[in-house]
Amino acid sequence: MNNHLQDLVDRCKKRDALGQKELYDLYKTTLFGICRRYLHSIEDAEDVLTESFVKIFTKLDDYKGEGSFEGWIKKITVNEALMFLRKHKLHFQELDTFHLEFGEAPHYEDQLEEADIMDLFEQLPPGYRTVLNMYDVEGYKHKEIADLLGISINTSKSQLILARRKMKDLLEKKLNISNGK
Amino acid sequence: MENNKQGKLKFWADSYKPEPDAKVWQSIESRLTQEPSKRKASILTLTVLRIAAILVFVLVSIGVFNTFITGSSNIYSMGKTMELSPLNLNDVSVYFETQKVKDLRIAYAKLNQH
Repeated sequence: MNNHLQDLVDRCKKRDALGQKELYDLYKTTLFGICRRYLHSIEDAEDVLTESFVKIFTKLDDYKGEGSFEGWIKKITVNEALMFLRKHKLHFQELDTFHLEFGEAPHYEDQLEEADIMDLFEQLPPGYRTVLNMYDVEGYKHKEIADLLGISINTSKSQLILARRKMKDLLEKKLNISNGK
Repeated sequence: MENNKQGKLKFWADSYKPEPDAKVWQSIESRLTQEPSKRKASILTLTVLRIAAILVFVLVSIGVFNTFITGSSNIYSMGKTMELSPLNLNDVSVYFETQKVKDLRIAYAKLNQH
């Protein structure tokens, strides 16, 4: 951790309001990006962002400087988003993975803008979106996803397969439209 | 290859930084100012609950102790007032061993002393 960030964290530990605002300004967009990836509605994402920052500021004494600070606050935000989804009964379509082939990750074209990928994410059902986020973006293993979401490993695998398939279809459609086909 | 594709998604995710509404900070700020008073209230509640638990424990202990003392003092007073009727060996024809009868007498006398 660099000196400025260390100083900022120390000020936040002492409940310094200006320090808290500075830390919020430093990470608000990064953490809001996580919230938006997991949650469909902007209002829900803002609620989760609020909860995450309140938890970060109140649990700051638990951060002992082991590992990156950004990693620690990102983990809190992901957990808050998952808690929100669990509270609102995230639905997973149960499928037998035996008959499903593991499709490879879709090819995210370079010409796609950030907004385009977010637009594709928004079209995914919540179950697909959550597992795709956790596996392909956050790098969780199926066992960890299953434990965190309270689902079976097979459900996690099937959600990923279906999410990638759906993402591929959406990507193709999007590219066809943008190429004028 | 797949890693590369996933890397692109990760890269997008890392660089995707939308701006939250200004009201988010306001609600965080108000939550943070509420938090210390909430914590104080919960500490107070916890202390009151602890004191109540200790009080209940002490009262229950006193109750149990009183029951025990009253019970044992009753037995003691009953024992104190207890008297044995005089022993009449003349009617008992089965006592033919004199030594045993003597022992019995001594025991009876000792019992009557207490």
